[in-house]
Amino acid sequence: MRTLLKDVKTMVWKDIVAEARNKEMVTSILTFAILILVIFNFALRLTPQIILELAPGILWITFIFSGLLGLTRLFVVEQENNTIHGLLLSPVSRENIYVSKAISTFLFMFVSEIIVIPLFSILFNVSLFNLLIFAVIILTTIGFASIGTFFSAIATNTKSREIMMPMLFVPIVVPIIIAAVISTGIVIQGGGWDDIYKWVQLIVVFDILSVVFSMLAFEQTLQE
Amino acid sequence: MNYLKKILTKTTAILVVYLMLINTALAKTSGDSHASTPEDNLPYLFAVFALTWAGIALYIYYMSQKQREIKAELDSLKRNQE
Amino acid sequence: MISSRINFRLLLHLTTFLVMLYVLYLIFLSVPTDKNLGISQRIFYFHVPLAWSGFLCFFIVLIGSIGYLWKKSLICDRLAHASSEIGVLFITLMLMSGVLWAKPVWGVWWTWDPRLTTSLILWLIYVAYLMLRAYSSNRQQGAKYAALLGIAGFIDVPIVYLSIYWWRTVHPQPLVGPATSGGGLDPSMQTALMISTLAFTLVLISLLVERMSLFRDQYALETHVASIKS
Repeated sequence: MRTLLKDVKTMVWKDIVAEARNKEMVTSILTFAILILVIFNFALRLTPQIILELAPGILWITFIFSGLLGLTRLFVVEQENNTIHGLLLSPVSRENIYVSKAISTFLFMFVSEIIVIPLFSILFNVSLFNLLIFAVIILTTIGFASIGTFFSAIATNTKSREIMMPMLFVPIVVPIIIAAVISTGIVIQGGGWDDIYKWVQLIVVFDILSVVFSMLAFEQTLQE
Repeated sequence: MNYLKKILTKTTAILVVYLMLINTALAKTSGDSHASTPEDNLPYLFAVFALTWAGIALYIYYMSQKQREIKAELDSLKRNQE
Repeated sequence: MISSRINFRLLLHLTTFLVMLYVLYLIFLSVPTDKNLGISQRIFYFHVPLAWSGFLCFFIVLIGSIGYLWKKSLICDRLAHASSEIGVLFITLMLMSGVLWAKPVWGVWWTWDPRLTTSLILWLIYVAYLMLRAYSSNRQQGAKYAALLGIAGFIDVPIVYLSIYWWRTVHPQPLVGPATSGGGLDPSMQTALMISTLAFTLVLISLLVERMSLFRDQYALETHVASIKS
C-alpha cells in the first residue's frame, strides 16, 4: 500500500511536469472543445427558450468528443518519445502504472472541463455554477478516465487507433453519458439532490466497475 | 477476371438486399394505414423472411470464400514442395 | 475419425434443416392469424428467436473469452471469434426484422425502446469487437484484446439496459412500445415460438461448428507456413 501510493505519486507528478512543459493534452482538449461549442452555435438556432433544454446535451457532447481526442493520444505520446519502454522496465507493478495514468488523465480532462464551464456559461447564457453539476462532472470524468485509459492502451497497439478508440469507448460509456446528461438537465431546470440521486448512483457503480475491471485487466493490454 | 467475378457477386448481393428494402418501402406507400385487411402487411412478412435467409446465405457464402482461400494456399504450398 | 466427424456434422445440418422446415410449416400453415396485429404478427416467430440466439452468441463469446484469458486455450478463442461473427449476423437480422415489424404495427420504423436501443448498443460493442480483431497487428494480440472487450461488453450490457430504461421514464414518448401480450398468446403460438427458438439455436450451432473448423484450418495453415518460412 505504501509503495502503491509512492509509485503513483511519482508517476502522476512526472505526467504533470511533462504536461506543464509541452501543454499538449490540455491545449488539444480545450481548443477542440471550443471549436465544438462554436459549431453548435451555428448548427442549432439557440434561443433563450430552448437553451435550457439543449444545454446538457451540448455540454456533454463537447466533453465526450474533446475528451476522446485526449484519450486517443494518451499512450501515443509515450510511444513517440520512446518513454513507454522506460515505464514498462521500471520496477513498478502494472496496476500502479494504470492507476497513475488514469489519475493524470482524470486531472487533465478535469482541468480542461473546468475551463470550458465558464466559457459555456458566457457563450450560451446558462449558469452551470452549481455544486451538484460539479459533482456529476467529477464522477463522470472519473468513469471516462478510468475506462478510457484502459481502452487507450488497447487502441494504441492497433493499426488504426483513431477509429478504434471511439468504437471501443463510446458504446461502453453509454450508461454514464445518459446519466450525466439527464442529471445535468435536472439540475439546470432547478432539481435537487433527491431528483438526481439514482443517476449519480448509476455513475458511481459504473466508476467502481470500470476501475476494478481495468486494474485487473490492464496487465494484458501492454506489450512485452 | 477472378477479381471482376468477385465484384459482380458482391454488387448483385447488395443490389438484391437493397431492392428488397425499396420494395417494402414502396409497398408501404401504396397500401397505407393500419391493417385494413390482414394481407396488407404481407410485404413486410416477405421482407423479414427474405432478409433473414439472405443474411444467413451471405454468411455461408463468406465462409465458403474463406475456405476457397485456404484451399488455394494449400495448393500453392503443394506445388512449391514438388 | 474424420468420417465420423463429418457424419456428425451432416446429421446436425440435416436436423437443423428438418426442424426449420417444420417451423416454416407451423408459421405459414398451422398457426392462427393474430386478431389485432394481423399477418405481420408472424414476423414474431423469426424476430424473437433471432434475438434469443443473438444474445446466446454473446454469452458464448463471454465463456470463450474467459476460457482464453484463463487457460490460454485456442479452442476457446476460436469459439469466441466464431460466435461473435454469428452474433453480429443474428443481431443485425433481428434489428432489421424489428424495423420491418415496427412499421406496420406501430406506424414507425424505429422507437427508442429499451430493448431495441440496448440491442443496438450491443451490436455496436460487438462490431467493435470484430474490428479489434481485424485491426490488431497479430493474432495473439487481437485474441487477447478481443477477449477483454468480450468480457467488458457483457458486463456493460445490463447497465446499458438499466440506464436506457430509466431514461425512457424521464422522457416519456408516445406510447408505441410493444403491447403487453405476454399472457395472451394462443397455446399453438407458444409452441411455434418454442420450436422456432430451437430451430434458430440449431442454425447457430451449425454455423458455429463450421466456422470454428474453418478457423482451425486457417490457423493450422498459417502456423505451417510460418514454420516453413523460418
